[in-house]
Amino acid sequence: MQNNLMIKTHDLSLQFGGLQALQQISLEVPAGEFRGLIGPNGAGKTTLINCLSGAIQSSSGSIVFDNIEVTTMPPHLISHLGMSRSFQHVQLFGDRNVRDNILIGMHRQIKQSIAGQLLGLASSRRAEREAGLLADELLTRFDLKGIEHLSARQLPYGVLKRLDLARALSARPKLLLLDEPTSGMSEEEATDSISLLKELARQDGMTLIVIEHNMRIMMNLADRITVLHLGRIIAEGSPQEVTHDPAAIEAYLGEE
Amino acid sequence: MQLTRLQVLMVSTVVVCSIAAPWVLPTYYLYLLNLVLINIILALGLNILTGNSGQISLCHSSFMAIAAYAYTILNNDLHWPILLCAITAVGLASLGGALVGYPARRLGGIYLALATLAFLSLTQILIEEFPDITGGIRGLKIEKATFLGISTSSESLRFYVVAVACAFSLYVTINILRFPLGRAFDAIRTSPQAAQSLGIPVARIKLLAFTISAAYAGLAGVLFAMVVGFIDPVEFGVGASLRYITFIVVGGLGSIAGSIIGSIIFTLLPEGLRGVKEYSDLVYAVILLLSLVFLPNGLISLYQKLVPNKKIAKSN
Amino acid sequence: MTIAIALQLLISGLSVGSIYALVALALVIPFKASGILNFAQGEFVTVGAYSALVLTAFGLPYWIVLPSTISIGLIIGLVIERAIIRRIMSAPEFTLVIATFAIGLIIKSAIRLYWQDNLFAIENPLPFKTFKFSGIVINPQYLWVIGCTTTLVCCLAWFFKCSPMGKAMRAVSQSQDGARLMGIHVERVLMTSWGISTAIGALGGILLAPIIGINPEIGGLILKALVAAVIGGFTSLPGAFVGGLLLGLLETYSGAFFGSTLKNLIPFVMLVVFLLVKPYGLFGKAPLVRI
Repeated sequence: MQNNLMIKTHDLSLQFGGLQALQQISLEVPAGEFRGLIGPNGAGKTTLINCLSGAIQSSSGSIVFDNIEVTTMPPHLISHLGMSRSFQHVQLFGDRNVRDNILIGMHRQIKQSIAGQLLGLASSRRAEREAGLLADELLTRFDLKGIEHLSARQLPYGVLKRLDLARALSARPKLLLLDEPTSGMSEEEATDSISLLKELARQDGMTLIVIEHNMRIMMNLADRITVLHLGRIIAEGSPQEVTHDPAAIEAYLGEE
Repeated sequence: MQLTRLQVLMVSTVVVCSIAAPWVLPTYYLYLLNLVLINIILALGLNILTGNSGQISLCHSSFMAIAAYAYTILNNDLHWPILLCAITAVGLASLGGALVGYPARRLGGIYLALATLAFLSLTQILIEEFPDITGGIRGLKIEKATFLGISTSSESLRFYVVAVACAFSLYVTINILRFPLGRAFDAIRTSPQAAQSLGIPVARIKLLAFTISAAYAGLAGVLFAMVVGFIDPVEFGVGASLRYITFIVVGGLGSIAGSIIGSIIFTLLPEGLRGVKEYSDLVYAVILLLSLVFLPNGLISLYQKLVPNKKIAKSN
Repeated sequence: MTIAIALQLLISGLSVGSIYALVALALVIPFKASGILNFAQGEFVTVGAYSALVLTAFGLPYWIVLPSTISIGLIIGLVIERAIIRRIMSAPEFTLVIATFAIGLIIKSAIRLYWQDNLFAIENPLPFKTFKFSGIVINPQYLWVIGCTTTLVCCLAWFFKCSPMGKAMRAVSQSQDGARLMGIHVERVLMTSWGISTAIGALGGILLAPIIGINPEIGGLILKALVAAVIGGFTSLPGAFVGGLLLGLLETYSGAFFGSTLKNLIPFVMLVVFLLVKPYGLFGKAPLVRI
């Protein structure tokens, strides 16, 4: 059904100098789906996410997000439409503490006038208090309450990843793009984290696109998987189908 | 803002001292205090741009200059009411900030520094090419005016205006830092990619930072003109801009206390070195270099290192 | 405008441009290697000029003074890098910029302390005086400046292409971590890049001294060198060279045709035009950001 597609790309391509990073990617992800994105290193997974979120401008093709054409839209506007993402190399605001990182994550939701902020008007103070309550909720939900005053720079890696996730989720996005969210985590932490994520997604009707190298998690939790190799989609389907797809197997075996 | 009893006491003391100051302090010290407060205003604004938003500006002295000249010319030649002169001057300085901030959105690092340098050169050229209006390199004297019935040459009036302006600037800065705007400034400095993905319009925020910061500089420029009574274009060159940057780099980037400390030290230092005029530049530069080498994150980092020790002592 | 005058202007334009090119190169080399803009570079030109003054006053011949001045620039640069710059490498970018500014101010005020603001002059070091050649008045000093600069650029080109240290420096400017992994001693390379740049600055000083005289404010030409580096591109050595020459020629010709007001405006106009249209210069590249 056309209207149920959260995100749809058509022949999306990206050229980097002489390199063809993405070649005619046509991707269709229905609303509410947990889509896994896998492929050997350098396949273009992160690049695809960068294009979808607007961080990089594609060379040709189109991207439609929730029935809105976003191919040339700047990233902060796409974000306002309800897309969030996490980063492969965690990009937290190191100077600020955990709580502020969450608050910055909520930036889209806090509507305050500049004059109100500069002059410290009552309306601004009220909005700030409300935002603070929301932030506290999120901190509790992600088990970050005890360390909320720690500077983001001081956190252990696993906690950083959790904060990154919490920050991306803070604005209740329609579509969440995650780039290797469990890297650096133990098997148990990883499974718990993605299960929690899937549960939250189901509750809020969120669509997920997750880049992962952990095949077990993908197998167990993803609804469908897209396999990228050298900038092209070489296989797509349910986890069962994909693991038996000869092209996909060759791509991975070829890597080893 | 909830204030503790100690903080209320501190603020009251400051207020009482401020009211008493013009009657108690000799002229020269009052003048110095005015300069310190004016530099604090400038430093606060510059710190928002550089310390918080991470954008370097070598043209803050130009924003001051724009406001100082506008204020003086509107007063001397057009005889506008003095408050209107001041407000217009600050507005023009902000406009200057927006003018620089707009193309600067896409530049960073040294390219941004050079763009601000270009703006500085522009203002210097304008000052020198229109000596009939600006007095050229000879400078410009501000004519007396009255504000609320008191002459602007009154020391008390000058001090109170400066003190109120400084308090207001502090209030605004505190607000900025505790509201989303301040967080947005920090965000675009530490990680513009993440900020974009969270819906923060990085380019627009950079522009806003420049404009607000220039407004502070404009206010400082107007007050400077009022207090000194004479505008010398030499005060608004590259050297001046670099000096203002030293206030915040040595004091502490991104920190209000840092702006205050840096301003106090580097306003009083050249005055204190007046006795050894030949050595003054050298001593200034050596002190600057030493503080950068041993405290690269500013004097504030020293305080931060000491504070945890204090806490341990208290709980014992 | 006769051919003779045009050629005369060409020579003096190239000569001025060569000095700009020298200082621009001195700015770009450490910038490429370590990302630091040395705001004190102008003062190293001043150091070169005053060193030449002192050594000449001792009665030493030019062919000793020249390499000695360059060596003085080199040594001071190495010392400063080792003692100061290295300590603050990890500090925020602004701290480094202000630190180099402070170093420059220390050098300038120290010089001013001893020699005051007096203007000194040193003799034309060459055995030839200004002569005429088929109607063109040629000042051999200009030719000497152009010649020295060209020789230096050729030496630098060879250095970066063929010598092990030069290749190491290129590796470091691409990626410090990558170079370290390859076994390159990054600290030593950075120190060398500083030394080379301050040595070049000192060379600029001794070349400049006989032409415009010696006083503590010579260092102000760093602003012109910055414009030259912008024109050429801050990440490009040939760009710095070309940018310097271009700026020198533009200044000289516009000064002759349109008077001194335009001549003074040229650097500013070029800066604005390039920053708006081509901020990375004629040969530079925009920095790559990995997401």
